Amino acid sequence: MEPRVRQFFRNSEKALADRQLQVALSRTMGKFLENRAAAVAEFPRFEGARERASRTRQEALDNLDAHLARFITEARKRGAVVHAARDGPEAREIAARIAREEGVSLAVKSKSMVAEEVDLNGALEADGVEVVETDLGEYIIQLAGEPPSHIIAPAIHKTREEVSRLFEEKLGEPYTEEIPALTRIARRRLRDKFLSAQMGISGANFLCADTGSVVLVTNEGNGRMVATLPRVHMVIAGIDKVIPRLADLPVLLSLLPRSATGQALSSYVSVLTGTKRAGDAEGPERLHIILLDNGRTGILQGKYREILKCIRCGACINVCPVFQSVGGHAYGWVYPGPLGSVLTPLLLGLPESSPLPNASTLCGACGEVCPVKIPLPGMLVELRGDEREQGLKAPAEVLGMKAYASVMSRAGILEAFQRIAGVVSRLLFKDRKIEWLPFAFSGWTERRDFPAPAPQPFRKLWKRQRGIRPWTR
Amino acid sequence: MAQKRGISVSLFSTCLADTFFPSVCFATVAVLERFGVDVRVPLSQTCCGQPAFNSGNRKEARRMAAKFLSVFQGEEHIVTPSGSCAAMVKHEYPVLFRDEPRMLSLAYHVAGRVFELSQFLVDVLGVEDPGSTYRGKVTYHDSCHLKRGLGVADAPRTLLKAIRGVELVEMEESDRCCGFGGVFSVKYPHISCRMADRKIERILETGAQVVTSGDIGCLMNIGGTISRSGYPVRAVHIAEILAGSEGAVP
Amino acid sequence: MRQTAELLDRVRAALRGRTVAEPGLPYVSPREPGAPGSASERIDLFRRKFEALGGTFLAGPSAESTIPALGELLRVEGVTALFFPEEDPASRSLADALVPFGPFLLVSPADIRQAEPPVSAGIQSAEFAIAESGTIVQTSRGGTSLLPGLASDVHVCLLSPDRFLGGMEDCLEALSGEPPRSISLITGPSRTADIELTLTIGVHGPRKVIAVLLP
Repeated sequence: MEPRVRQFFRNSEKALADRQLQVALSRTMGKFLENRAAAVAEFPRFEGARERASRTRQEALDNLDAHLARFITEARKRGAVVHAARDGPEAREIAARIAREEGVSLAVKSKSMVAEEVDLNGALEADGVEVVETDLGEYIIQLAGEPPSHIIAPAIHKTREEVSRLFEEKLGEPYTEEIPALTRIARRRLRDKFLSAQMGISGANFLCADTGSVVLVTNEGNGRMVATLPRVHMVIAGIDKVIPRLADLPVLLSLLPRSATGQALSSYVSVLTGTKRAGDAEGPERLHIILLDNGRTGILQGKYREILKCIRCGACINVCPVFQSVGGHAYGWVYPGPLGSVLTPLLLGLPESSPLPNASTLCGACGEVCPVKIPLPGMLVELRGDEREQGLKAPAEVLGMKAYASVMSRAGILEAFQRIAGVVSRLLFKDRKIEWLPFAFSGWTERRDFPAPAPQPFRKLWKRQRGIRPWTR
Repeated sequence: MAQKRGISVSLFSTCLADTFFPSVCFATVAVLERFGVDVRVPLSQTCCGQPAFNSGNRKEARRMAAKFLSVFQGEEHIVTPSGSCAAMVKHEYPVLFRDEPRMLSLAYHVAGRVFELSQFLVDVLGVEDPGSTYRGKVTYHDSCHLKRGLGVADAPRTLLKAIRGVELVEMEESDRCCGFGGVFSVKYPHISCRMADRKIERILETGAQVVTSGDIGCLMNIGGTISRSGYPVRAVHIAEILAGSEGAVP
Repeated sequence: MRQTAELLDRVRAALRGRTVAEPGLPYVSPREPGAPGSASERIDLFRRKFEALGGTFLAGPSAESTIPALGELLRVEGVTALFFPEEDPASRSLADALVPFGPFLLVSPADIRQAEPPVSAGIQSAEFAIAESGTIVQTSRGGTSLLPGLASDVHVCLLSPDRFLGGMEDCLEALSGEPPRSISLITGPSRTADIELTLTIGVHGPRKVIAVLLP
């Protein structure tokens, strides 16, 4: 997916003015939060599970070399062909080669965020392979030619009216705003694709090192379909998806669906191990697993390693008041919300994505809901510090901060400024409010008043009240 | 009122209150003195460094933090009418000085002694009734750093409910961020205002005449929007309600 | 092979100088206390969870006694055809017994794999049931087909009382050793909320799940 991250300011302005988007967000974001809250309330061991899940994920990363090596060995033992892609271009090349060698002309795909990262569909389509998205939300945005705006519900930015118009326009279906009817249309259309595709493509929610298994979690059932019906199954997954053992799954699955959609468990959890065996009724004859690095080993090395614990539940995205205001497309790349604001700069580099860590009030809601306790707010502040160190901050801001620190370095200097401010305030702002501020601060006064400095600061009044000499307490 | 002799408090006035809202500082002192606390004000204090830290300007933040620590080291209780400033000292000073062992240990030492006002009244002094009078329908905004950073949500409500004449009404989404976020409010003013609008909608839904909170930044954001739009609500700092002295300076 | 070797080198290099547990000292998450002790308690819990998901739980003194009710349910769902895996005698005999209650046509799985299949019920013995989540467990062991739970409109699962486990950990333990090609944990019908977060049942999978408790 082509990044449009640097344009975040402009993107977010458009998003705020986009009526359809605002309607869609207002119809959905509240439900996400209610559903999650209800699921957490009925799960008394939630906090304990968070701690356990956090440790499990941390351990997986701290020993990723051993676990990844084990996964590769175990998967191969059971018939999988395991590939490693250093970056997007390599992943695309591997995927296209697999499709060519396996004689694939039609592929059905279950949602995968790393596939978006590397634009896997584009690589296959350029080689003449038809790729059909089977996740309803992905199917919708594929028809619309848009990127996903959320990692769990990719078409959350579309109202039902927009989906109806889309189906009418692109599929020639009669217009209906009834959501079950729209779903039936998609089900019908996709069914024969499932049955005739030579290859199924999926991501992986988890990769189990001890058994070489691929775990897919869906509500629709398309994960199992793409992994069972076609002759070839291609999996693409980030190396951070590895978990040490199958037995780690229950604690992670006790948190992922609850955090994502408010369900105790998703409708379908499929643990897939290897290719079709002698005596099996169904299964892919060929299994290709592409392990994607694309910057993850770089993250693993540094102070942001914990972001790789993420199990892609989307809770941080849902709870973020900035995301709730502007939606996912404003973030300009695959991952929106707090997850995206940390991951995007780490994968694309800060110069390409510097607005994102700053597009947060640091309210802390994301860190509070993360099921694996990733310190997201702290990482955002840390990234802002990195920006300064890499010389990416606006000179005005750096100068302003230096000036601020200088004034605050001595109470005497601060008082001098306060004295001047007090005089100006008494003269110019008789009704104690400022309606216009210059430069960068004009953003405040466009729609808000700013308080005028007090005629005398507290410390001066205090000294007078308590009869204190300047240099005594 | 119960007399708690022997407790002395150092007031951490905050740069915003000191410069823009001295009445908040006087109210804080008044409430503390009402409960027999001896309040001193270190006059060499300036700013905790939060605006610099939150925006990633760690060098400047460290400079201001070092000064703060030198001003307040050795103080037994440091009380401030700002949830975000308290959280800054308690949680972020150790982060700022993680590579400097001597400063780090000083930071931990001071961090343990910093309290936000309502937190101090209820958790340390054991106050249940602030003993003031204030009339009005009041709704409380949970500021992010006070609630999520310091875990303080019950103390302000306990105190407000006890005031005769106050009708405390809860707003929906009371802990949803108001959109201030320090530098965010001027870097992304359109998003900031959208968030403030939503907060004000929730406030208006309660029919309250007053919205109160423990953070001046939030009150500036909410209050500034109200002032420009002319809504029939006042934004008042909780210290002033607890003191019953809204807007007063000697 | 070379690419994966390079990947592992990069990962090792990234972790060099790690200050945490060496491999061999894994963090193994402590086991959650299991769901209720006796088989009948587990069956009860399963039933409650399963029904809360919209499932229908049928039990009777004999398998035959559930058939009229089951037939009625299937008719109400518009089912006209039944299919079952070849090598599953329990589902075969249930299907045979159901035919007159539709009347239903018996079809083969291949018939279901067409583009416009009849409205069908897929009947099959389930391997396990997990009480705490109302989950049905199907694996590919013994040549078991996934199709009844994959490609039908209504999924009918046969469960024997000794197959009810407490929690997911119990299930994974019961399946320990070499995992089969596929383990399917099915919790409720197929669903989506991708349009305006409004729940719709029955997308790429059955819209109804029925559990029949065999005596």
